[in-house]
Amino acid sequence: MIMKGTNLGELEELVLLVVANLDDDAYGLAIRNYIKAKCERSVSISTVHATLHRLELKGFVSSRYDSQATGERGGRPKLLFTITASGERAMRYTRDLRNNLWSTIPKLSFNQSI
Amino acid sequence: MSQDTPPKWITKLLERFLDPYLFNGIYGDLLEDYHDNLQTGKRAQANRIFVLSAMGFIRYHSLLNFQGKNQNTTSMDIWINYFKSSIRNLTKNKRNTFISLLGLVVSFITAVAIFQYCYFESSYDTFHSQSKNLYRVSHIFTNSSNTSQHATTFFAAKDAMSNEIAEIEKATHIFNVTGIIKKDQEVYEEDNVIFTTPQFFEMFGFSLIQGNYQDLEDPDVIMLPQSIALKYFGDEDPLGKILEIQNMFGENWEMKVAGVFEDFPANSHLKTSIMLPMSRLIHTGEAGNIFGNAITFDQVKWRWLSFHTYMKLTEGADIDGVTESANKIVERNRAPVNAQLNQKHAIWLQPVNEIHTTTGIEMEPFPTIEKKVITLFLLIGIFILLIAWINYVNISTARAVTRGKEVGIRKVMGSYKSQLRMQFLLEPFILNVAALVLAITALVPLIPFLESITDVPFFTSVLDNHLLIGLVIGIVALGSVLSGAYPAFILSNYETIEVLKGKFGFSSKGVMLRRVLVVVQLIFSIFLVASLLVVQSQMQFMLDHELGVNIDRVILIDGPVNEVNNDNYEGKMETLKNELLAISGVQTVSTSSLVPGIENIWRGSTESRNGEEAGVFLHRGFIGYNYMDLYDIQLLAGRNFDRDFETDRTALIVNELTVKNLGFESPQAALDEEIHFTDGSFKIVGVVSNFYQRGVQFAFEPMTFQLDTANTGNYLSVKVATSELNHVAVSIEAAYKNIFPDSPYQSRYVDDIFQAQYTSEQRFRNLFTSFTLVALIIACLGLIGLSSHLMNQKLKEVSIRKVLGAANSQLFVILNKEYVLVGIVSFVLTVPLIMILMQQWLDNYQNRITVHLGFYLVPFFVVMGIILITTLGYTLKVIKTNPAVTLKEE
Repeated sequence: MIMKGTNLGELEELVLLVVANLDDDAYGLAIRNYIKAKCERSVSISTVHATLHRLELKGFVSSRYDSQATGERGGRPKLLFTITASGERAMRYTRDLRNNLWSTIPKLSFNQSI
Repeated sequence: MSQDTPPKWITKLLERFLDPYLFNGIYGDLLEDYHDNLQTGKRAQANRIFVLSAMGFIRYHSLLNFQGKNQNTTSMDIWINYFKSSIRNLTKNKRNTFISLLGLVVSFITAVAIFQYCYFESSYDTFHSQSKNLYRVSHIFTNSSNTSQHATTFFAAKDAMSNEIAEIEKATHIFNVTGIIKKDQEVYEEDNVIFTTPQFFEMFGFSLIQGNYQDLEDPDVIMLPQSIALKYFGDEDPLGKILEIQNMFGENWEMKVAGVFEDFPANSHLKTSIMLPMSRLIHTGEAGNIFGNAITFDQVKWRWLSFHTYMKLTEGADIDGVTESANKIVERNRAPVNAQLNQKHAIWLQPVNEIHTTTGIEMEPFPTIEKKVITLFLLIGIFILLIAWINYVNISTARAVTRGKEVGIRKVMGSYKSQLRMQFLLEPFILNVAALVLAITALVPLIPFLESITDVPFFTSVLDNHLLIGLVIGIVALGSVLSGAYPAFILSNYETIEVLKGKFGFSSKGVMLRRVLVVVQLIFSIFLVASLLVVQSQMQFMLDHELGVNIDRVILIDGPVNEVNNDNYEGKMETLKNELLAISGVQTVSTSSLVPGIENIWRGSTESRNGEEAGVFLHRGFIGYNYMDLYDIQLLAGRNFDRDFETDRTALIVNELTVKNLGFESPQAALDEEIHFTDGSFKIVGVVSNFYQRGVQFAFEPMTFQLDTANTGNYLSVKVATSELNHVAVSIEAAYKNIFPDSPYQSRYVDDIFQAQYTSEQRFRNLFTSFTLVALIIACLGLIGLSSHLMNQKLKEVSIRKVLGAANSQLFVILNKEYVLVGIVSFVLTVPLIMILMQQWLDNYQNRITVHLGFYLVPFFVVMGIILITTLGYTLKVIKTNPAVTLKEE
């Protein structure tokens, strides 16, 4: 069971999925660009960071600074995010919950609406 | 690599406000994104995205560093607290806040309007790409009786100077006429039809949209501004289309449109409706259609003085040297004529961007404004802002005592003085920003009104005027500091213990400053009222001034320019005159080449004669038989023109000034004397009294009148006997249209023409009046706020005095003594100001009022009256208080 207050919001889920996809290189801008490219959805850098911060407070991701800094970032290291165990659990829970609900939709309800 | 860094201030802000742990990661992201954007787009765009992305973080408190990350209170918390207490304090004293705010809003609106006006008036001709190298060749004309400056010079000056003087890079000249345009059976009259050369476009910052400016060499083409092209051709492509132009030389030209250019900006001293090639004018002159066949065009070149001539000098050219060489050229070419006419001609180079702010030059095609006037308005704008800020200072220092406890507690809790100062500066800052926002909101719907009173186009959107934005920010910053500094200083200096013990009360701190500030406000007010009085009186004086000529109920018709050279013109004019006289209500009709209220451009100098002074400069004009009767011009000696005298074709009527300038002892002595002009000799048969040919701001002019025999006069004046002018005007128009169906009908009232000469004065008066009223209203608002407060503080004093038996009248004196004293001090200080500045302003006028005692006393009593009326309500309230109520709490 997942405790109340640790539910994933839609954007949170998206960001978590992207962090997982990016693996070693999940940092703010990369996540933003990935969402832009793959989801055709424009989010601002600040929103991504705010979401990541919220996820970190919930314990779903952990952050660390990259050991090496690159030139085009003005010598600033990347703040990298990785998914924690509870983060992974939350993702799976959300997916299962959704799949369950999908599988129990009676056929009739779609036919009626179309 | 400094090229590739985003705005520094953003970095500082981010570093300051972002959570320190997150900062490097976030800032790195932003930089990386910035570099990505630089690859794909422009730097400005990348910068914009960078700023917007960075600003996005404001939304997320969780990422900012004051949100519980640090256990200590940050300065952000303190600022939030200051903000809250400022807002609370402002809302607690709603009336004072309202008064300050209203004053500020009104003053901001007025100040912005004034500054925009001043900015526009001083921005004339600054848009040419090389405006500082552009000069107009202006002309100084001297003869035995006077010296005058003209905006125009000789036809030949342009070529002669640009050929001989190396520093002249380019030169052009302009000849300005009125033209009649015919299109599709319709006739239109266009002013500012100019003849010029192709160099015009190379020199000035006006750009062609269609066509090639070189084509203006071709004598058969015209170029049009966009608005005129639209007027005549609508949506059609105007290029290659034909416009028929009839002109003052009686020729009928079919001209092909070869170019369309952007309308000149409103702040250009050059204006045009149709641009014709100068070569066409030269052809017309060479064909003898301008000066007749008796004189060749070559002979005219150094005599024809009607060309606005412009030159562009090379960078860093020596102006004095060029002027000297130019004068030598004029001297050499004019020498024979000058000697004969006893004249002197000199030229000077007038920077083009100063043309609009120079006055007193004749043949200036459009009204100019004096620099002094711009400065005056600028000062009034600053006065108005100062008055509003002083209101805030006065009210807040008067109220300072009530915030003593707050200061004491803050100090006990560990506030620094500097922090308290910041806190008390925040309050005026909030007030100023709020006022600014309200002012801008109110300004937008007010723009049409402001445009109509200032006659200056306003920015359509507030943001397209960088200067204005800078100004607005400056106003707020300056306002906050000026109006907040002193209260902040007083409040932060309270002694903690004394304040908390309750030992503060009627602090004397700030009283002196407040008095000084009130005096300053009163000086402004009295001065403005006095100036208003002087300006109004001078205007009224000019409007009421005896002109020596009666211009009431005279309708002026512009004669048909396009018919002048027709054979039957004279006959038709005669028929028209008779038909007009047949209209009931029409009293007299007369043709003339000049009318009162319009600058007469035909001038001539007498030729030398044995033993007599030569080269007397005189105004010349043609008038019909009835002209003197029609305009009620008084005959002093001799007779009027008369149909019975065949010789009147060579007779002359002159005015008193001409008699004097010619050196005759009396009007009688001048009779039967002959005057020689280049075009013939004339015998003086009559002398009339002096009258104002132009507005009374100009001096009398020496006039000579010849008989208008061949209907050379192009004006037709119609004197109407009844007061139903409009009714008669309709019949006049019908008669005109009947006889000249192909000519546009244009009529005006002569007294309107005369009034129009005072347009700039009238506008000055209107602006001045409005601004002065605004300043007074704001000053009154401040006094209301201040006096209500001071009176309340005196409540106890008054109660005790009442208990001890003071009479109401004594109390009244005690309560208002200070205001009267302050008023008198201000008055004494204002007197010299009024004396100097108003005398200076009046010196601009030929006919002016004298400043007498009333101009000092009336403003004083007006201002004192306003003060006493403002405070009267509070005085009465305080006097009427029941002492028992006030004193029982002791």
